[in-house]
Amino acid sequence: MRTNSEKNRSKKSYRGNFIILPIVFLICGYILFFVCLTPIIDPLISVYSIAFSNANAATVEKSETNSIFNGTTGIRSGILTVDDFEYPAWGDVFGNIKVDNTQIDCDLIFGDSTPLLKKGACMSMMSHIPGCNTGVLVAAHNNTYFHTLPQAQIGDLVHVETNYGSFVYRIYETKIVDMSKPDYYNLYEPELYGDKEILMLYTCWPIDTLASTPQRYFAFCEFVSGPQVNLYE
Amino acid sequence: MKKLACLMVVAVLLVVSMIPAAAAGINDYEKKIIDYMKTAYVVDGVTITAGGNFFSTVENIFAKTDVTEAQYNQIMSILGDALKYCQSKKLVKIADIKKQGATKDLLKYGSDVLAVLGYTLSTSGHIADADDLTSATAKLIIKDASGATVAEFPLAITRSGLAKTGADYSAATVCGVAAVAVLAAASVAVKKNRKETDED
Repeated sequence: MRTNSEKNRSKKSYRGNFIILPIVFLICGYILFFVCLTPIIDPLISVYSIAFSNANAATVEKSETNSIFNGTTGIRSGILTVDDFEYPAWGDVFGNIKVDNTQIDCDLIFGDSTPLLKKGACMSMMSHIPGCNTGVLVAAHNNTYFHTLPQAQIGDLVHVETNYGSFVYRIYETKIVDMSKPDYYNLYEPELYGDKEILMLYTCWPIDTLASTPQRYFAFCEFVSGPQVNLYE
Repeated sequence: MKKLACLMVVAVLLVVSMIPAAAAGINDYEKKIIDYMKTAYVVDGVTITAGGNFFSTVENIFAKTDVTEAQYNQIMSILGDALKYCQSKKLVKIADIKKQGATKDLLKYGSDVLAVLGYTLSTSGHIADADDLTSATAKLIIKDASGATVAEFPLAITRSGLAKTGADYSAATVCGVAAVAVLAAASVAVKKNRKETDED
């Protein structure tokens, strides 16, 4: 004869084995299934939208940012004032960035918050726009836009098109900055606030890490060509 | 006819004067404000100044605005009060700000300056209720009258200025968490089954 406690244990075991565990597996399985299929589903939805909905191709593009960049201006030299072009506002796409020998070819956005970093390479407002004869600090995620940044070699060119001019920079140094070390900022601040135009591209390091890390991979680029911007009247 | 023409000219001038000036770079008033902030804050013989990151942000904001003489006077008055406050509290080092519990007061001066330009200042992260200027999550957010973000940055006196560029966690993290959950559930199930087999 089974006692009451044995019966209760059996009931609990039944619940655990045949109700709760299957539900847990089902939910987790669905999540896995969804995450794995997301890269396939998104393009399929886009194709479906173009083929069967009234929306045109532009409406299915992912970018929801305001863009003031309409392709190359062809301005590669000269002196500009802020009157000569639309100065970007926070979140504006104001250019494009390409790095030789990498797959980097993405929007350049003004500002660098977490939501903006999902949309392209972001220029810090703690630096200046290209052409101001000082540091330009540009960041992007290591698993998306700047995943191939470490493939760039010293001497490779970086092409930055903006809504006011075309700039070319040359990579002259790469280094890893460890933010957990004291005075780590000395590794990039002299270039950032110096009186030489230096473009600094950076992303999280190691490159395949899945979370934010204290290390940043930096590519320092010297100015090759482009117009000068006078911020002061 | 002359009177009518005069009236029209006055009307046009009035309308023109009401239109906010378009951004035209950093004007003389804005330059004076920047210079003042760089040099005027002398406390106990020590010139205190924010880092280059702070002034770059200010320049980026001023490039989109045009400070008028009236606004300049208002801003300088607030900055003067802020200087007196710093001197009275003897704020020389970053640590002094925390020690004196001065964060909120200093942010209030910043907020007042931005209000002159029609902007608002808010905080997010750890600083709202605490005097901690070094928190990794502490952020200042400047918005214009329409609520659009003008700038968002970690507290100016922290040195980093570097963004979190780790992998965009949305898909990867969910996938990882789900996989861990499946493994955990599986191990619980295996343990349970073993226990029951042993008991039988």
